[in-house]
Amino acid sequence: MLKLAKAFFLEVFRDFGASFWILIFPMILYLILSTIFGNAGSEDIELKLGVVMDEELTGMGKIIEKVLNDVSGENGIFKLEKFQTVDEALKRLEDGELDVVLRIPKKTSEKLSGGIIFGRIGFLKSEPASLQVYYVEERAESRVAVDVLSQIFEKVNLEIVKRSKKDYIDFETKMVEVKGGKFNYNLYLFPGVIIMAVLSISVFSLPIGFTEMREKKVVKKIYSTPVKPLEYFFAYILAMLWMALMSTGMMYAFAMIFRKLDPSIFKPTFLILFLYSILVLFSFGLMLSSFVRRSTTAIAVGNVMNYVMMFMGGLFFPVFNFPWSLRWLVYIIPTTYLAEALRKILGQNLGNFSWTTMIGIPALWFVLSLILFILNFKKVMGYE
Amino acid sequence: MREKNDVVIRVVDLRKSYGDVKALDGISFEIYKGEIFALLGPNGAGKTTTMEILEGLRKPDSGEIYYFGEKVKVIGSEIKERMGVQLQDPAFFDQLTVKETLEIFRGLYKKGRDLNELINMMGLGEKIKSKVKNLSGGQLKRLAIAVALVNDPDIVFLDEPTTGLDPQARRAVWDIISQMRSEGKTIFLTTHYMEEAEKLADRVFIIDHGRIIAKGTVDELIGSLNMESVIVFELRENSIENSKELKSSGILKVGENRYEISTKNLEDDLSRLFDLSKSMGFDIENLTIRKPNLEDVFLKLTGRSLRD
Repeated sequence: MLKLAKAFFLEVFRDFGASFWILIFPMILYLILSTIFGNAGSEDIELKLGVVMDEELTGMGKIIEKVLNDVSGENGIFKLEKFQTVDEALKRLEDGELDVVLRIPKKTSEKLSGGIIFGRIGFLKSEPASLQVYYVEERAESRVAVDVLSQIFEKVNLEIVKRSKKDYIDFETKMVEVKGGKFNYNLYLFPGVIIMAVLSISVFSLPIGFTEMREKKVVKKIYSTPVKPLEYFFAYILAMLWMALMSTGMMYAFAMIFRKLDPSIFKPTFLILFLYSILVLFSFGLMLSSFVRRSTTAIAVGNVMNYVMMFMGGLFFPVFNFPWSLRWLVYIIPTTYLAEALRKILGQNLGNFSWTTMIGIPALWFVLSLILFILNFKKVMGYE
Repeated sequence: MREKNDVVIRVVDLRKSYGDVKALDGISFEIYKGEIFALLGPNGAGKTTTMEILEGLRKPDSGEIYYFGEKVKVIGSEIKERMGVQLQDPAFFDQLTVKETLEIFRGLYKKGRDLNELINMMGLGEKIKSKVKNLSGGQLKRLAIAVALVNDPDIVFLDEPTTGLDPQARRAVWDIISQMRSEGKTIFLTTHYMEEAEKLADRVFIIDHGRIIAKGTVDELIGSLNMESVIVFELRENSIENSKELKSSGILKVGENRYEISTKNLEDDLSRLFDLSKSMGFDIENLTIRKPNLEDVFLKLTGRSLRD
């Protein structure tokens, strides 16, 4: 089996196209993105938040003030600046001097307090407090900032809901999912890029490899030897695993040498989670292999899946502020959770998922994909 | 006289269909140790299906297969250890070199033969460092045969080993096959080239539409035609091709302006042909006389050419 795995490995490794996308491209992409958005080095970035308060916050409204103080403190992710008028703040946003503007309209305190009181009574409802957030779609920092802010206020909202129940739990603001306090794009990007490298193998090399070997009848030649279909399968998977590990190894070396990343990327939990990601994505690739008959179809399907999983999975940029017409996709695909889980270990996650969700949803994908593949095993492996 | 334990492969009433198409319609044969057994037939006759069933690549719908005297349901790894297979379309790893390809396939078997010896035998010495994707058609066929021999097999399957090759490359492959026979290998060969079967095969089975329509040695098959020679000639005038005189004289149209007469009495039939040309006023061109061959056997049995 090892001999066959070596053949598969050399076949992919020596193919310039395949090697480029699996081994070289992740490094180039990391270099480009981290240079543009990572402050050309490994320094942490600070997001600039402009706050416009149309009223003095009182009562329950003080929650917002407390949250804003927490996120803009010494270890906070935001640098906060207050403005008298929204126009003044928006001008600064347009000039690129702010990343995001938060406007707290009049009656916010009143609406928040009303919500809690009426919530306790149970049958009366009050109008929700509406906060306005302004950002610039074209700027990555702005998108990151609004995404972080929306996560924070989802958390605040949850706490307020808790207060409206009878089993009242003491409120503690712990919105700061970004552990260590500071957002580092280079560190944030790293899990995304190594997942992308694995994705190239799982959605391209696996389905294309299996279909091409059937089309070119290499698989027939293999089956004319004592090699069994299961041995052929494991040999190919082993070869692709070598490619994935080689690609990741190169990315680690590159990131450590040229971007001097935090050593937390070597944490055993991070590495175990990454291996788990490989399992899930390989399984996903095997599922794709079950549905494609020709290599041309495999290329087309692989391309679509690759882009969806990369961009909707938030491998390079935050995706939690996407409109709901797209955001549902974010919450379905496994890459969202795998990237978030890896980032959580690095203290760079922007989502608000529990560990159960981040492990469970990819696990569902893993099981479902594997079942579909097993049902189509004969067809994919190309034997009677 | 052949003995029972000389039988390497025995096939009884093998059947295989693809949808409504009967690829094999109950074929039976035996292949003996050390012989070159050729299955001759036109494209789509069922040659490759037969071979792939025996290689374990396809499952028959029904029928029995015996290997080395044992009935087998599945062609398993024990039998595959003893067989070498050259597929009709050589398929290897494009990025690997000739030497790597041989080493990798050698590594898939428990036993094997010396690779350097094999490389020399196949005349691939100058190409050992070349990648498979850079080989010519002839070199690729030779590599495919070399790969079929890496495990020093008892039986070698060669599926149309010279299809698509130029005459020089074809002769080189024939020499290799002859050498394999001299090493005592049993060879199962499929081909649609009658010259190939005539030159190499000890026994020939002719297959058409999934059925064996004739079998025997080359001499037996040709002898069954009961003819001495074949007169081949060309006529320019298309207007006479359907004439009664032509048909009643046993003249058969075999191609564009090309006709043949199978004869037991060459002089008489030649004389009759010239008389006919005078009386009907047509000119005979490019007249040749040849010995009958397997093509004639197929033509007689099916009314079609092997290349149709």
